[in-house]
Amino acid sequence: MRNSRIFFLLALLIAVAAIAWYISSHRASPGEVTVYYSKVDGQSEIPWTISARAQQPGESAAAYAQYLALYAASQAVTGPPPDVTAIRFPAGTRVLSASVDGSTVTVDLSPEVNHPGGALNESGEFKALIWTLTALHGVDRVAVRMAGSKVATLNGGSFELDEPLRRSDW
Amino acid sequence: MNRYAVRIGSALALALSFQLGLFTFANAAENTAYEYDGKRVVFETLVQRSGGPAVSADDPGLQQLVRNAGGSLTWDADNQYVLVTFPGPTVISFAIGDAHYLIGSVSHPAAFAPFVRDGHAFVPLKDVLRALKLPAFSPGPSVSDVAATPAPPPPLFASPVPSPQPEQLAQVTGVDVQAQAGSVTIRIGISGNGAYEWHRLRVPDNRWWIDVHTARLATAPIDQNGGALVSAVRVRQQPADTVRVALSLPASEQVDVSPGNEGITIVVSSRVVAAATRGSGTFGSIVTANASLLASPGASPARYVPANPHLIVLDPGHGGSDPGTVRGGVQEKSLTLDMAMRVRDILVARGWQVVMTRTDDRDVFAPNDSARDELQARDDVANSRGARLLVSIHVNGYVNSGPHGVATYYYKASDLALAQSVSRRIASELDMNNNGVIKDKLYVVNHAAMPAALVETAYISNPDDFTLLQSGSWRQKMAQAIADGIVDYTESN
Repeated sequence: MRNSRIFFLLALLIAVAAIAWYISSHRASPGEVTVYYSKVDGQSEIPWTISARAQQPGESAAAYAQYLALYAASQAVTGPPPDVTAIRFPAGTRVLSASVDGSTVTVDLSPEVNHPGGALNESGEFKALIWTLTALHGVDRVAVRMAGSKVATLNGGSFELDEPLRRSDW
Repeated sequence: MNRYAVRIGSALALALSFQLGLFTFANAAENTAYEYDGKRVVFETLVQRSGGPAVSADDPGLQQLVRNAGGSLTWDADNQYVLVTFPGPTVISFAIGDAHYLIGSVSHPAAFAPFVRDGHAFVPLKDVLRALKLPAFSPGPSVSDVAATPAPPPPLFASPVPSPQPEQLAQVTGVDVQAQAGSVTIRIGISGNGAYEWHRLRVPDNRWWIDVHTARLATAPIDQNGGALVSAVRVRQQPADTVRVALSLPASEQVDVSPGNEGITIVVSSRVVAAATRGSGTFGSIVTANASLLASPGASPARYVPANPHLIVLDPGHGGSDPGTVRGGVQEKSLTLDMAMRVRDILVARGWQVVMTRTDDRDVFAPNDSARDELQARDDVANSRGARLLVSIHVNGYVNSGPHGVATYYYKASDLALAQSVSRRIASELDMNNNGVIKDKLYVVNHAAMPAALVETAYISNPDDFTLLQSGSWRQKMAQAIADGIVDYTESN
């Protein structure tokens, strides 16, 4: 009698745990990403946090990571609100795609990014982008493409894009 | 059709020039002999100009004259300079197209601007003599007389390198071999000036040798043991006035060659920086060196050892089909070239050898090339010559007028001290906003084998900076600060 009561309690506990796990894993949790922008001194990175959509029921972790990478990259390229003084990507620059492979995010930017300029804006633009993407969990390198192609450098200040960039490149 | 018309026109113009006596080739020795202090030299390439005779920098007579004065004369085709260098160092420099010449940093008016013909640089003879403090040149019969007789084409350019006379040969006076822990230093003592060339055979042969040209071995043949890293050192007189120093290396050790005033120093070490298979240079009162470097697979980064520690490479940003950043009619490529040439003049006057990646408005690799090809070509100029350092000069631009001031960029750890030196001098010598030293992955800096820095001198997009950039005196100040920063760096590194 005593044994059957214990078995019943155990079965109940297991059932409650399973239900709790099912509910929690299928409940939308709020997401957020940290986006950086570069101050015009070319040295300082300022973070701000923006909300992102939550992982959807049934959405795999890999798919959600892809989404976050694209979302964060797009936010970094768009830059902070207009009233904030920051180094900004050239007008018209868009993120065409972003993909995650292990610890590397590959970002494909539209050709507008290759706008004649100098070292300050090129460095500041990419510093913000790389800081933003490497703030994502498990990401430490960012490879940059332009309109689907690998490029060695930008034309203006000759910022090098040959190899994936890390925070230590600054 | 047009091409033939141009050729015929050119021939007629040339003939007319001779008839008018605008220039003539002098071919009679009595017209071109120059005697001073009991010595006699013959100029073989004199060309008469309205301001007086011009002589080629290759002229054996001129070369001999300069050697007798204790100097060395070189034609730097890359930079369009003729340099007369003396130990000290005192430098007399003639720039092609400039009717002035410099003794040290002091400018003197020249009879006419030096010019280039058929790849040979011609300088005003009387200014050369004046600079050397020698008596003026007074030919026998007038050189214009030569035009009256049919003159054969100038014969001397067929062999631009004069055959050395016995008294002109450098003397290899001995070889000193010193073995230390991890390295062997071999000093080849040489009196006089000359050129050398070295070669190495790849694994498994591992032979390495250096040929000292226009030289005589003043001692008996030498055979010496160099310890664990160099199994044998052999010195022999070769035909054609060449002295060969050959090393037998048990393995593919690193060999560094440093020419100097008193000969050539070779350091053999077990570390590997890069695998070079050949190199060349000159020794004596003017020192140059370069090596053909091939990346060594698996080579570990090591402290850079310049093949030519006296050579500085300056890179004026952009050029040719790439104007850089532009405001109105002002282009970055023109401003960078102007400032780089000013830096060059200052450094040359201080006795440095300077090579520029470009000296006019052109692409260094090819018009409309990729940014990578263009930038790598600039790095190649410095890397292939084994330069001490590289400084690239740019003008910054931004999408609005806010940012202003100068910034000095570096990337590799070995660049930092150079960037700091340049930035310090800019801060102390120019009254402008200084954004300091910034680490940035710029291609030309990253791919330079040597310490490198890139100076973004000012913002073309900022009105105040734009005014500065258009001022010649400000550009001169900027050039002075950059040159001072470079020299500061070399004195402490």
